[in-house]
Amino acid sequence: MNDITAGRLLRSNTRGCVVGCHVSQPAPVFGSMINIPTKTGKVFGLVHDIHIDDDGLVRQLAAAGNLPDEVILDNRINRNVPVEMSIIFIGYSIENKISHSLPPRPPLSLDEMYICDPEDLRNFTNAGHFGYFRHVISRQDIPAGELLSAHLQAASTAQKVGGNPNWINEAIQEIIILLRDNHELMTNVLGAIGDAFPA
Amino acid sequence: MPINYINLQPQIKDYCEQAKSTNKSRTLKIDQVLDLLHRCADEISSGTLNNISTLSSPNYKNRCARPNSECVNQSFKINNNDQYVLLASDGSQITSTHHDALPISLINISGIFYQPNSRKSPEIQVSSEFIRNAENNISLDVISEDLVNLIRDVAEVGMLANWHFKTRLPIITISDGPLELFHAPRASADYQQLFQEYLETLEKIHQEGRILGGYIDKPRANLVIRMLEIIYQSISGLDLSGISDADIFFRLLEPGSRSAIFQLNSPSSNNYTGPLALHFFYLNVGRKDKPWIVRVEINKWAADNIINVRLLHQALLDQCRLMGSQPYPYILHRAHEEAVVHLDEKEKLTALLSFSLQQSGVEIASKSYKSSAKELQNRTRMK
Amino acid sequence: MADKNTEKTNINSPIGYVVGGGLKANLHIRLTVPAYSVQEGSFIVIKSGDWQFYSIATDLQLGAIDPRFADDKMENRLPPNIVSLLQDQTLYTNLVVLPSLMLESGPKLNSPEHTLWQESIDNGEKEQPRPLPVKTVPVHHAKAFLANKGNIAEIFGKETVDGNFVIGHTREQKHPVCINLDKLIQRSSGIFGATGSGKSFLTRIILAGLIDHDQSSVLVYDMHNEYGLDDTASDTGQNVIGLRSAFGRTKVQIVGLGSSADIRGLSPDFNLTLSYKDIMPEDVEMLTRELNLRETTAATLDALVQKFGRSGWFSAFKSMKHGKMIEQDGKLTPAPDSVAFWANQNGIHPMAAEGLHSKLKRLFNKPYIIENPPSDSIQAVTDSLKKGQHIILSFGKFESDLDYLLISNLLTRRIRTEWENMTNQFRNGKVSEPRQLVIIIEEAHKLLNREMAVQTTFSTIAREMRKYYVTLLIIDQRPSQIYDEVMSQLGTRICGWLGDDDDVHAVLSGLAGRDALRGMLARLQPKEEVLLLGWGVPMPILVRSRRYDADFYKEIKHSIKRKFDQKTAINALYPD
Repeated sequence: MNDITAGRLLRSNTRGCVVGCHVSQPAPVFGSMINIPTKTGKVFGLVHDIHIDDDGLVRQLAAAGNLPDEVILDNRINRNVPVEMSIIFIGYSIENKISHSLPPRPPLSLDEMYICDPEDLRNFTNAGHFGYFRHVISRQDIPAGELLSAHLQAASTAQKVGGNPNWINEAIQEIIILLRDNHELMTNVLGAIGDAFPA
Repeated sequence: MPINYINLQPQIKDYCEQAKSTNKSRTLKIDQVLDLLHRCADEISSGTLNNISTLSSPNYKNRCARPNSECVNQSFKINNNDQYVLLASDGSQITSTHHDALPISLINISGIFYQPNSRKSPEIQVSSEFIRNAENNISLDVISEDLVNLIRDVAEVGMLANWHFKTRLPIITISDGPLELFHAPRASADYQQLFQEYLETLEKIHQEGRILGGYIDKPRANLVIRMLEIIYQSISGLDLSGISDADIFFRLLEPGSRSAIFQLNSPSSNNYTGPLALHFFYLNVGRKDKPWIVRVEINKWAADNIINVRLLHQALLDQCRLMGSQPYPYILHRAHEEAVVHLDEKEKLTALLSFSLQQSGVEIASKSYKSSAKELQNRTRMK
Repeated sequence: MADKNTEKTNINSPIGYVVGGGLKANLHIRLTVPAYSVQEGSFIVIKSGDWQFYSIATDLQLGAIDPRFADDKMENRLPPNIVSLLQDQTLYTNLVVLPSLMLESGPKLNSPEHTLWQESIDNGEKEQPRPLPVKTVPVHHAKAFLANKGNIAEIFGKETVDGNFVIGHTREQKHPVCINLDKLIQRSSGIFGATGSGKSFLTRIILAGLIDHDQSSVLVYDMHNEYGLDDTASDTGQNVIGLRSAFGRTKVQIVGLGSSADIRGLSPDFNLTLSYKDIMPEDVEMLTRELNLRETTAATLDALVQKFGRSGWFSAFKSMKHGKMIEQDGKLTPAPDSVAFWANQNGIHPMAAEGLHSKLKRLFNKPYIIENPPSDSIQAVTDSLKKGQHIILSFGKFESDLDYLLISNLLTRRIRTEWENMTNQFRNGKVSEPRQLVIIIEEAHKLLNREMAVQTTFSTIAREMRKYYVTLLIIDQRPSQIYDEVMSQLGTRICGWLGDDDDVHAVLSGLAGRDALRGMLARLQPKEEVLLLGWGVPMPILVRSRRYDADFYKEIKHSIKRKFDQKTAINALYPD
């Protein structure tokens, strides 16, 4: 398990949260699986949005062009504008028993977030039968196709290392089953996955 | 109650009419001033200027410019690539009123150290201090805003003088606003002491070999115009009111150019003697289609060193270019950003203090009801 | 889902699962194997709880979860593995099956429940399970399988059981399919198919089976001299073994028509000649269309019978002279031995009588109709049949419809009378049970069309004679021309390819699930594929018929069902 915190929780609800990270911290990428330890166990999530807000100064500097490195660094390091990440919850664990349901309680403000390592990925994705996909697919406000594609890339690599190279086919099959009543969304999602897993 | 816009309608119309006619006369006056400036330059160089002696010594009653060694109508371009480092400071404050539950007087000073072409992020220091009394205890009384401002100004230049770092490059220090303090001189001992401290800090900056510039964005002064008025007061009917130096130098200075350096002659000039004597020049930090005139105040030690002047000129242009279409020195903006105290911070600090005092068993007064009434919530809508 | 390119269907693994349908609308099975591994006509077994449902595939329907998945060719947009997964989930083939039978198979084998179940059967508390007409439906997602050898044997019987005859094999796995010959001959049956579809070969196979089983006698009206002697196949040029060659004279006798009959240059075993006394008026009436007889024929015949009797009218009429006149009293009058004279004497219009006489000349001139044949060959045929021999009546050169209609109807009428008497006597306890007789008629539509059916004895046999141990096996390429009352009496129908909608409709008339089977009939392979249906088979099934060749006879002769006892055979033939 990674023991270097990647950020702290700013706000949350049952379905997800927003975590603030400093640019110097190890940053999860889009689609990364993260975990947030709580008193009873862990909450697992996927990073579905990374946003860096602008302000008037940044806008003005960007329009000026030809910025020296010192100004860029000043804005990244000194100015108090953190990187914010939006997380969608996909499951939780209590006493090491993993569930793909939404967590009974969301994590609390300033709880630390960690990036899941390949073993965490394997353990989580091996629990149950892809039940957590429904959390991603049911959200209208996130890029489900790209998110699943990024997640599947990471998870399939971890599964291959763990001796299960066929996991990816089972996962794609499950996605198809979940989406087969929605042709449009299915096409989008499979297109994204197809780009990530070319022939 | 809101403004009575109906009442204002005819007044707006009058305003526009007046502005229109004023604008016409302004243009004529500007032309006239430019003519006089050129004439003055010619007469100074030919030695035929008659009233120059009027300006030979500081005139305590007039706030005006005095020619220095450069030709008054000359403009100077720069094409330097010299290395330098920059240091800027700014300050903000919390001032108390009688309506406050807890009188808090606090200054917040920021300093920012910027080294161009270093590929390092600027260093920042922020210092927050409660105002102390003569016994060096934290003052629990209401302190006037004016005094707090003065304390702040002194602290700002103190940041520029006292921040040390290792470098062999010339150090250019910049502050926001004129180097001439408007608060001084006053009779009270506090003011006197603080002003003295200010002058000593300026001297320290000089001794450190640093270049100091006070940056005035959107200057409204008419120092050079006043100078011309005095020199050519014999011309009857000469009326150069209603225009500022910026109006003149908008026409005179190309983008990136500075004006000649002038001496600053004012009632408080007496206080700035020797190398601290105040000088200034105008600088166009804008573009051809959008010129922008600023005034930069410097001390004599800087004005007499053309290399320092060029460095300061170059640094200010470099910094203003970073901000694109609204030129302003980046480092000053950042210094302000780091220093500024928002209203909610005063409230948070008040709350923090209240809690700590209560923990210590100290009774706290409430704020005035007048103040509370002002803070009543606006109308809300049921959701 | 199986890889489309390489995997063959494992016969032990399911081919799909039930997703819908019902008793009226057939069952729908979602295939989990490639569509091409199941064909129309396949025998499908569905396992649901303690029951097995036996059905025949009648349709395959392509479907999609969303029609856009079928329309869009995703191969151009997605990698092949994802396309394959997508198509597995969104595109499907439904197999439509017609359920016919259900059989209680009991709880899972070797389970305690199964032991209890079996015990209750052994104790007689529960009936021994047997295939029943389907009365309910399997549950959703019940698994479906291609029938294995055991399933086929459960329904159609094992080939080792006496009476079961392998008529062909299932198309996919080539499991043997039996028909029960004892059941086949209990009712009239039919073999149908368009010209060239192999009806004759199929008939040979059935006949061989019946002859070998030897529980009935067969009488074949071999209009085209196909069955008795060896022949050459018209399409392949190969030798086709005749029934007499296969079984020998002891069992199979070829009867030729006429005293000097020869069948392709070979002499028959004996000749069939008719006496004048054998021709009955109804035999002539049956030939109304063929001889173009008038409506006055019946009255004329009746008058002849009244005058000369049923046995003598033909001889008497034949001997009359047509148009013979004498002079009497200066006037020409019909001679006393003339047709006209007789007509006048008996109240028949002379022209009607002369017209009939003229038309009957075709019969009068038949060389096989003689006044006094040396023996009663009809009786000889009947006796042979009663003894257990099989008769193939080859018409030789007498290939006209007139010959066929006259001889087959006349002979059958006599046989029918004979068997009726035997049956009545048997029921009175006087004689032993009559031997079952199967009469095989080709071109059956000539004898059994609506017009003829009421006049010939064949329709009576089809309708009633099973009670008298006589049934028909009709062979025809135009079943739509056969009287529908006769068609409805047919028990077993063996159908090759039929192109005409009316023929298809006729074959399926009176059968459950005919709509589902209609398309299947039209899509049979032109040769060797037949559909078995009707009362004589437990459920419709599509088979590839056996090949009629030397290997067929080897298989029959090496059958261990019954050993041939020569002494028993001789005693049966010559009891005295």
